[in-house]
Amino acid sequence: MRISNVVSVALLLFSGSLATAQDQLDVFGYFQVNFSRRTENQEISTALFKNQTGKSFNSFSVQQANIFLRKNVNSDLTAWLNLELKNSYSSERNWGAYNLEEAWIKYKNHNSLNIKVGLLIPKFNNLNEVKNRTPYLPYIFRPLVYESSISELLNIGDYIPERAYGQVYGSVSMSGGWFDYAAFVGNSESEYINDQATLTGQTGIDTTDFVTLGARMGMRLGKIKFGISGTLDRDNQTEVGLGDVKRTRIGTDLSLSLAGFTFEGEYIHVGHSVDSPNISLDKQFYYGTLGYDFTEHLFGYVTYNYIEDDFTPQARDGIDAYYVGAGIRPIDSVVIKAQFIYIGAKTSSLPPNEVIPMTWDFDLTAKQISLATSVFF
Amino acid sequence: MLLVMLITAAKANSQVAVIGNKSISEKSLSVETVREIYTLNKQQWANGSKITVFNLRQKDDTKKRLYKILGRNSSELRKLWIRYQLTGEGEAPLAASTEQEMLDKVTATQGAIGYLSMEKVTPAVNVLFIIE
Repeated sequence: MRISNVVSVALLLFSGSLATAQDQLDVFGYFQVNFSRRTENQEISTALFKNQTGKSFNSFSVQQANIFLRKNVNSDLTAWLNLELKNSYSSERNWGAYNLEEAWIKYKNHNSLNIKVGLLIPKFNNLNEVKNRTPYLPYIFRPLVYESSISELLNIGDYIPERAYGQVYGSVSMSGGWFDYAAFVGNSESEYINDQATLTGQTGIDTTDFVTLGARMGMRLGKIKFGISGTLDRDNQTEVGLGDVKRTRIGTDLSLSLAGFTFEGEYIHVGHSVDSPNISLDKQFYYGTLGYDFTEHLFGYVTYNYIEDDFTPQARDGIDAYYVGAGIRPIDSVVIKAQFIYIGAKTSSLPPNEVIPMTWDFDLTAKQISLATSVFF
Repeated sequence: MLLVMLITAAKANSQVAVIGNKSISEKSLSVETVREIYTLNKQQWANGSKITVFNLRQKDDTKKRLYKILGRNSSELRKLWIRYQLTGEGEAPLAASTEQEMLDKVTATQGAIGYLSMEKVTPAVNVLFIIE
């Protein structure tokens, strides 16, 4: 179905009861256009060969565009649709992707009880829910596990729950602050979702009897927010003969602001129950961003990321990433951003294992300068 | 007597009133409740009706004084409001360009809350809280 048809159908569905609704249909969204210049150097060497490659490129792109439809069905119910187009989407040219990111209805009777049903982005740590909200984020290139453009190198779905289908959450006022809680349920990871119509006649459905269960608990005390999150699900490792591996994600997050400075940080550990003692699939990630508001309209920040993945050769000894960025808001609805990133990964003399029976060295460096404009409308 | 009148007039000139639409059942608010409304933690009045929040677009003394009792600067509030707006968890305050527009919009919108200088308040709205 063409995108214009999809948007039209969505508008029709959401506006169908305009005559009787208590509230109007709100349509709003944002897009981010960027220019990036990236330089990469990679060296792989083993006892048998050495391969050195380097490349640099620069490109303009519409990194992302989102359209939201929101309707307050009545004082307790809100319907929400989020349509997302990525990487200069064009079906004619096979560029980018067009996704139905969210489609949910929320029941809210009080702060302490909200129930969301439908396709949603679950509450996990601080950034997951807003990782694609470019006008909100200072970044152009986001913290590594939230950056979809490096999905060829790292499967970000291994670190964070990307989707759920039901969530109960709320905030309870406590002395001087708020206690936040959330619990969600969804399909197992994307690798289990059917993408071949010939198998069952329907794509986009989970073909297993697994589910993802997750939760977050946290506190907000003035300008300090912190929490702990976790999920239980399965990791599809059937291609490498490990089967459906039990997986546990544990995350913590901390955000605070003080005297013009802001700090945001997260830690995620992904543990797996693998039968083979020689193989580990465990991963960990953390980042910290220190920001400063120079004026009401001008901000800057520095970020450090670290990611480690026992099963991905390039990330076994860790990948470090450093960001320096700044932005200006000439008006409330426009943010102009600039960012420099440096990513380095070095793995030396890896011992052979069942999967890669050869010792080898790997060295990767990438530098990127980006400029972007994020527009909220 | 003249001195008392002058002091009273000067005080009224420097006060900021948090005002509400006549439909609101609450007749006064605490500073904590004003804070919760402007940080979008509270989105419904006691009778369950929706709170529509208005904010002055331009930066002036009236706005500064409200933000001071909220305990947040404009960058922090903007970030908070964008997060609520873009996650579907709330609606960012609607903008009013002038205090007269603020008065007109709060008067005309059911469940609305806003703020303006005390001397510009009319009987068309309720004063819910006074910032001295």
